[in-house]
Amino acid sequence: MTDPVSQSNSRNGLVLSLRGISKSFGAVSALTKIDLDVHAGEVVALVGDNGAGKSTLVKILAGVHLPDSGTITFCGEIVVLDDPAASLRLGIATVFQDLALCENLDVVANIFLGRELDPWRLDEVAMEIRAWTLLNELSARIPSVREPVASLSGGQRQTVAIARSLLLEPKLILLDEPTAALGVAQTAEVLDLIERVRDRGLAVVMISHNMEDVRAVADRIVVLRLGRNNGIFHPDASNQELVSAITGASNNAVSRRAERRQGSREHSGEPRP
Amino acid sequence: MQHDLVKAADPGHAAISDVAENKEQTFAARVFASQPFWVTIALIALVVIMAINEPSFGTVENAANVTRNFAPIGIMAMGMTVVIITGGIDLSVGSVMGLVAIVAGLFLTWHYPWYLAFAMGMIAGIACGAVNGFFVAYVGMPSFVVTLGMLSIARSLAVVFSANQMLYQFGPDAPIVRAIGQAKWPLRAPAGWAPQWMPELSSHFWVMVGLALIVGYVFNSKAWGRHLFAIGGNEQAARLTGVPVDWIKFQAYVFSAFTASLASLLLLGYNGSAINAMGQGYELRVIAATVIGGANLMGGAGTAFGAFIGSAFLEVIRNALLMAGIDSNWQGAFVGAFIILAVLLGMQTGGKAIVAAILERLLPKKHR
Ligand SMILES: Nc1ncnc2c1ncn2[C@@H]1O[C@H](COP(=O)(O)OP(=O)(O)OP(=O)(O)O)[C@@H](O)[C@H]1O
Ligand SMILES: [Mg+2]
Repeated sequence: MTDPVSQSNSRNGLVLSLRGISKSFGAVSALTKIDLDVHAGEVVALVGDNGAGKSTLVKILAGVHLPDSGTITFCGEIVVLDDPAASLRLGIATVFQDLALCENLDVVANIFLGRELDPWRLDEVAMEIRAWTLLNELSARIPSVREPVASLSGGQRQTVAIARSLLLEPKLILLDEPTAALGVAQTAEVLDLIERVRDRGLAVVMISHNMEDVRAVADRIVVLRLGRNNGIFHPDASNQELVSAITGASNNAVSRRAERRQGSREHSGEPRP
Repeated sequence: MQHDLVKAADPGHAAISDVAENKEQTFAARVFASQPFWVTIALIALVVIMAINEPSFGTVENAANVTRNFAPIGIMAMGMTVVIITGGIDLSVGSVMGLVAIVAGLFLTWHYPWYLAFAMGMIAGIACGAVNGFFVAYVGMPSFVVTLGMLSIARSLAVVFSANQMLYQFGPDAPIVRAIGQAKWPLRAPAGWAPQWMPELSSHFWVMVGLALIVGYVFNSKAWGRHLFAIGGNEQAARLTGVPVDWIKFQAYVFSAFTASLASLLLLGYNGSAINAMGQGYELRVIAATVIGGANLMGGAGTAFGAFIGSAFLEVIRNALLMAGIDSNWQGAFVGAFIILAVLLGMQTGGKAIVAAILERLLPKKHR
């Protein structure tokens, strides 16, 4: 749990590299000097407590927020992500925590929103076929792609949001708590999907509070705490190690408390840290 | 067609598609659940009842009158629908009409050619829309406030520019201006070919129909139309997918002002004069027509056909009350009641219009 670069066990090239990214909202400093590397064909899990700055980091990469300082290197070039379209153009796709779907539009329209086929004379048939193909690749259980998203369940919406992110064949995909709203089976589907996406050579950043999910798919686990890097772990790291990095066990009292809490949690079968 | 394709590609998916068959709304179910459909039914019923009971209602002259009367409202309802779909409102359309009429009227009284006068009127109207759009889309102010301000500003400018006079000495191009506003098609014998039972429909009506077809086409077949609905449904989501939200919202207000200008110029031609009070109170009639036609004031829903049918419905009620000899002071109450009733009928209860839901209760499944 030291240098973010040396820890990477990548098979392929470096897709994303962040150095010294800081962001504050007024008096709140959400991120302070964050470093992060993501390689092609790698799943990086981003974990941390509520308010650790995970979503803020994702939004910076999605072009929603500009960082106050630091550099973003994407595929070897320093880039400025000053609006969502810029990120999409580079091949950074994001599934936001709140999914960002239009409830009044149907599944096809949501998947193709902002990148309709033939904008001057919408090609509905081609879009519908492509939507089904994408959804089938994800083994999605969607009754009809012509129903408004408002009539779908949470898991189905999640699938639609993920399908949309894959539409443009991105190089990097960011998933902000993709399994938070899902049941057991749906979670497994999404994790399978993440593995399939990784095997296609994409770089994946996944945020999750669920350590089981994280261990199941992550190649590396990056911990944020209070907006700072707080270690990088292998998925086989012990729960205790992870939890103390997440909750901040820098002095003994905190560490003991963390152990105690963790012990009682494991006893009661509570999976979340 | 796509279903078959999917089944062929993935046999495991067949079971899901079978479920889909049940859940998929049929075309008929969709129609039954739509507010414009029920308003159309109500409109037809009203017309039939009136035609039977009131001989003067069913005449071709009255038909020509009614269709001309609601056309300016219908034209503006197209623009209002676009704005309302994005989740906004445009209260300034009536005042923009007044300003456009006065600006065009002034240029005509100064003996400029008609097309220049119309162009200047159009520019004045579109400028109002651009100001609305700028403050709503780029400054982020509530549309209600901005367009309420414009309602006051445009009317005031119209009064000032006209020196509070009626403008009617339109110079050499006056006959052309009148011809545009008073044109009819098809003409009956002896001037034309149309049979006696066919109403001579005004240019206003045809402009509205043309505009409705264009707007309907754009809503269904252009990415721009799709983006309007996306903005109304979830503006933040539209932004995140790279939709140029601000630009499209700006254009919506410009389009609304454009439709108000168009209606104003047609009325100017029809009247052969311009008064600064033109269009006073029209904003409420236009909004009422749009809402009766099924547009959702929360944004994200609305159709060109709905705007058309809503405007027609309002005017037919007004006309019917007049013909039935009901004191004109009662009109407001009736129109208001119908606004509430129409929205109630179209209100979605679990994805169905109330009427459709009631029908389902009354009639067992197999009979439908
Ligand atoms: N738009 C904003 N304006 C002001 N403060 C913000 C904004 N977005 C985030 N913050 C603050 O930045 C900090 C980090 O928030 P962020 O949403 O990134 O946390 P998170 O790690 O995603 O938490 P969670 O696990 O709850 O989703 C919080 O203190 C939050 O209050
Ligand atoms: Mg978050």
